Amino acid sequence: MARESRPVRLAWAGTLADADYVQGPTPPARLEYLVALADRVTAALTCHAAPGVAARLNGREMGYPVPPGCKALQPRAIVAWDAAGKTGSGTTTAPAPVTITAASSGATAADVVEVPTSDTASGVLAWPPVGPWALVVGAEVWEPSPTAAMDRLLELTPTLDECALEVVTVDECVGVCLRPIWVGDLLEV
Amino acid sequence: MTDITTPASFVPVAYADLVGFVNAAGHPIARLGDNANWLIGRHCPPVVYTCPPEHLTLDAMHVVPIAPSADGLDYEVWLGVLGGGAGASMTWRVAWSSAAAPQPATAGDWTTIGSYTDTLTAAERDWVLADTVTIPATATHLRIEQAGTSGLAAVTTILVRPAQRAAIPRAAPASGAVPWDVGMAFDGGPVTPEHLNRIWRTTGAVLADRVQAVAAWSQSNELPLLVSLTTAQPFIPIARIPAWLEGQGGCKVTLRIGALATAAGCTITVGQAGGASHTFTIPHPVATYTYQSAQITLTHEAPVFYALVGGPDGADVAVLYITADWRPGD
Repeated sequence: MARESRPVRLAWAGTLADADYVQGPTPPARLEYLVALADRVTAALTCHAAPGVAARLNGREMGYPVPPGCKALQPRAIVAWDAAGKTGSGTTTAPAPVTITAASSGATAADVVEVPTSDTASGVLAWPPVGPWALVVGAEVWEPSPTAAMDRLLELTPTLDECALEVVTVDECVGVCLRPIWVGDLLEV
Repeated sequence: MTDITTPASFVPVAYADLVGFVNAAGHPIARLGDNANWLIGRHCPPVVYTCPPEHLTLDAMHVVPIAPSADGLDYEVWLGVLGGGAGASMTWRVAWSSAAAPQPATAGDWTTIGSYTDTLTAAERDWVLADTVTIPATATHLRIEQAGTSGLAAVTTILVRPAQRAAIPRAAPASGAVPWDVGMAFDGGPVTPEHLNRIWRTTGAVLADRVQAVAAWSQSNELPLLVSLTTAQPFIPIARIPAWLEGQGGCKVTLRIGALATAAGCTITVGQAGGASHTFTIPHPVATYTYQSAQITLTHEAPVFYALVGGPDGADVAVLYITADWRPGD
């Protein structure tokens, strides 16, 4: 937001040799300023924090905000362990991956994304989560036709209409946020 | 005065279109103005976003802090709810308070503004737009009250965000955002400083006016999970929360807590893992929830927040909420 106090610059710096310039009653603003203005408005479109929540996320269904121009969500989850190495669901000793589905993601709706947690211990969902913990981050892999439960992004169809709410289901973690991945060029949306 | 129709979509401007003659009435100045209007009407990041524990009860009250728009906007209140038995019949009421320390069950602290009624089967999960309500700029807290007539249920998600507006008023609101008016631009007309300043100013004003939820842990006041401290365990972590603020490393976020303690000397430390933190001291003896806030500066755009409750042997601490929010520009 450093530009907030930036002075407005309107000095004419064009060339009258361009016949287009003389069509208007007054000279247009400088290209430099117009680019900065366009940048500012476009940056505002994507000015959205990806909120995180902490909870015993065990099959939790929730709406997640998806900003305009967002083509995918990258899972970022917190997993925790207890001293006995119990699993998240408490039924197995194998590491429990974080699983996330989004209603409109994948080759078919609600394809499961699995984020591996650890190869040395198992997660725990008890509260409060007093044991060791780790941040696990989903693979930045774009796969519109995924195999079952692969570690990847949650693919979405970007729009420039409004901030959408995607219904996601999160399992086997104690905190989560979904990082938005933007399209490379908003003009292509 | 009639309102200005908000554009349905944001239409980006190609840089190539900024070269050469720039007509006030056409592309790209008017398009930038329309986009600024789009922001006024459709920029709607969540101001509250939390997932309370799935604690099945008949009645419950969730209190969360809120920093609403200066413009007195309408807000959508979305709820995730879970049924705990066949035929759970529930009403959820939305209320706001401007009191410094509103207590969940003190009726005089709250103004009810909306409600939602549903009947849930066992283990049924619903994600619903509970109501659209007007929240005044003076509100400090929202309360979601669950009042059941039968069965058990739980609020599993609370999301509050500005409602989309198909039209925006021509008058300049308190936030400082000034709409781009269609009458400002005509074919062949001049591009004046007002055209450009208005777009520039409105963009910053809308963003700064709409505080965004960053991180949260919260629970209801009905049989809350207590943090019980002992000599062997004088500090207990209760939440670790990942978040993402694209390109905003170095920004400031506001931490807020609501809690009560059964003994003197209890604290809640909230901070960024590997970064700054703030320790809140919970007053005692106080038999009511106390609310505090503080700002910290983030070190990068991908923080993980933590919350640590501390206190003497035998103390119990009931935490109503721990949140972080961000006002763009901070």
